[in-house]
Amino acid sequence: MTVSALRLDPSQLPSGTRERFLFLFSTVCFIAGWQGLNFGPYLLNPQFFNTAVQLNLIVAAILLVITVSVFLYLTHTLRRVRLFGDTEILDPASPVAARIGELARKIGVSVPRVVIDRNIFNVDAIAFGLPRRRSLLLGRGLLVVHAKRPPEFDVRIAHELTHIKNGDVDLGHIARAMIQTTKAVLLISCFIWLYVFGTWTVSVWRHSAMFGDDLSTFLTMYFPAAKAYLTLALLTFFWTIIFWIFLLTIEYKSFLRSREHYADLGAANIVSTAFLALAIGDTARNPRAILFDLYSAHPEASTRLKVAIDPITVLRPHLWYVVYLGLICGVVVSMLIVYYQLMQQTIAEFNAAGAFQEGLSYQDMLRDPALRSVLNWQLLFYWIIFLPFLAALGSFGIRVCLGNLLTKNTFGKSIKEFVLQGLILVSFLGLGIKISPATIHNHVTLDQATWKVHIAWTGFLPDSSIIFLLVLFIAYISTNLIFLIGLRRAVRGNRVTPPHFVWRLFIIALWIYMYLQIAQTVAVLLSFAVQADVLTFGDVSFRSLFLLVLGVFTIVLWVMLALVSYVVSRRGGTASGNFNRDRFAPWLYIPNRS
Amino acid sequence: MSNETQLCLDFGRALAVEVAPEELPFFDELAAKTQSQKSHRSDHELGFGGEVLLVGAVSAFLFEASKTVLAFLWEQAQGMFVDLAKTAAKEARVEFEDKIKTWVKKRFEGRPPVSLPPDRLQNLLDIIRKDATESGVSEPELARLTATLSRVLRRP
Repeated sequence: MTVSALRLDPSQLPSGTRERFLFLFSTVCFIAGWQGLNFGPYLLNPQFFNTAVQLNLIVAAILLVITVSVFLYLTHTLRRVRLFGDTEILDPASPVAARIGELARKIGVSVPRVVIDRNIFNVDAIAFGLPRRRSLLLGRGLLVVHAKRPPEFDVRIAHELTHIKNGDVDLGHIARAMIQTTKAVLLISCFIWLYVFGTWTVSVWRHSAMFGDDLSTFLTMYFPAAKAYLTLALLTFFWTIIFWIFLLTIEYKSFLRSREHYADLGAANIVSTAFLALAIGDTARNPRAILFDLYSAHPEASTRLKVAIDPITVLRPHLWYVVYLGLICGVVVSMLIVYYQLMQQTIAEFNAAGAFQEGLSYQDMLRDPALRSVLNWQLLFYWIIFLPFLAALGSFGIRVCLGNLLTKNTFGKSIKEFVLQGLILVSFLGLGIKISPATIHNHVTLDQATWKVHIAWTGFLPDSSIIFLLVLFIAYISTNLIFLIGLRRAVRGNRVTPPHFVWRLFIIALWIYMYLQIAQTVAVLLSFAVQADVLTFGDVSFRSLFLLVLGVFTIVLWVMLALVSYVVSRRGGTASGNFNRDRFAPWLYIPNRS
Repeated sequence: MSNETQLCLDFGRALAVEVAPEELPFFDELAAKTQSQKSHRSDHELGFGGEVLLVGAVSAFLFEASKTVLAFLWEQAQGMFVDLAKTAAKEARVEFEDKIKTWVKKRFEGRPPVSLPPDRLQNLLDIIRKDATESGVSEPELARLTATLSRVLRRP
């Protein structure tokens, strides 16, 4: 088989789908937790309110969002089936159903139930349904397409079936449910705020009437206070709503757009790139504005074609993605600081209650079941919720490195790209910390004597954040360079089909390594705040112990990487003549259908 | 549906047999909705996206072309009984429609009810070509359509 007859099979490469989904899930959990923390108090009697209750409110809000999201996902079939209006089930004996069955078998998924709408001009198709009960909703126009241009019909159906095969139907619909739920929570928060504001207005009016004030006296008293509360709400609350919705939507839509590329590639592999181009349509017509593009669930037609023709480009993330990845990570870091402060507050409350003496060790604290429970919850919360952010960053770095290798970028060009991405990433991460609702919340105060809102500009960005950003920047570039060097050897190997588990193990090891690199930077940041005299294991401080474990783990991973890279690159070598030796990783290529 | 529309549909369907037989099962649906459809893009999550309006179907155009052809034929036929009284003209119209109907039913077999002179036929084909180009009808389908019309309307 000649080189020109081969094309890259992206299914052999990490797509970062699960990481991005978990990233979205974490963001939703953070938002829910934040809303629970800020609005829960309005629903409770202040008498019973303390930090432990605040923590419970965070967990309760997260559980609520997860429960509603699961319900919406489980019932999504009922709504999706009516997306195009009235439908009917396609006769399973029809030639169209038979063709869909053939394509499903070719792609390797079970034949879905097919429903069809009544609009003869609609040629769109949508995949949905729960596991084992997948469905395809077809526009009736696809029957005409099937009759007139069968390959175009095949492309559209193969695209949808690839969505099913890639797991997009589950991840996409769960993500959609989470976004809908979070938006509802944010809307409900608005109503709670309005209710509280209304209740306060009524109480002020009643108080004023009790003293026999007339309307003008009431207004003179009410307006400055109302204006101050509104300003405070605009800065710390309504801004939050807009910020969250913007961030969530662009991340969700970006996730969907990346899945469309993989579905396109699946369709091009099964049918052909030429017919995919025909189905996507006129690429030059009506180019979209950038903002519209960010909010779109499908990439621009020209981008879709570019990826279909050259699949490696799917590994090269758009710089916009780096922007909001940094922004979201920044917001999360700022929230972690808030949650960390809550943990400190919990310890202080236990101390104040006389449960412990000052200067107690970590083990001493863990002896108290109530405090142990709270601390364990918080630690679990940190790592479970924060891990996806590390995973998203790690998988992002790996894809960038693979993209550089497979497009044979020079070392210098690769470094330039890493530096640019690193700079954008840390800049927006810093911006994310700065404009995060958590940071603003801590720096905006209301003086009730003068009814003035004060913004504390100094100390807006903690001193340690600059160090944190610098460490992250260096870690990002150095880790990517290590990947590039490590991967080069493995990807250049001449094995036609390497053992799948070796490749996977190799990639997983790289991922873990990336996580640790980034986790290390976070640990450095947190270590500034950790009080060595509080968190100790005997005579060893928590920070030293953590860095020791990290160092040992890093060395073990280095050895592992070297071994796996050796196995992937050196074994095999029986494929001489089957491929061009200049081409990297022949096992990543499949026959081309142009 | 008026007799005239029904006749256009029958005529268009008969043309579809020659021009785009694969569209026959959908001909009535495609012809019925020509006016209300506008091109648009879809952005449903996990849909195919892009242009979602069916393009390349020729049925709608065949329906429109049938109107043009029948108008031409009727105009030609009117010249034959220009002096008839109003009621007689009405009867002539009904008779004309019946003849066309029978001719269409026989899939254009035999003589056409009204013969077009070569210059008028050329005129008609030019109009059809112009409309087809504007409607985005593909070259092969246009070629089949003009060949069919030339064949069936030119018969002595």
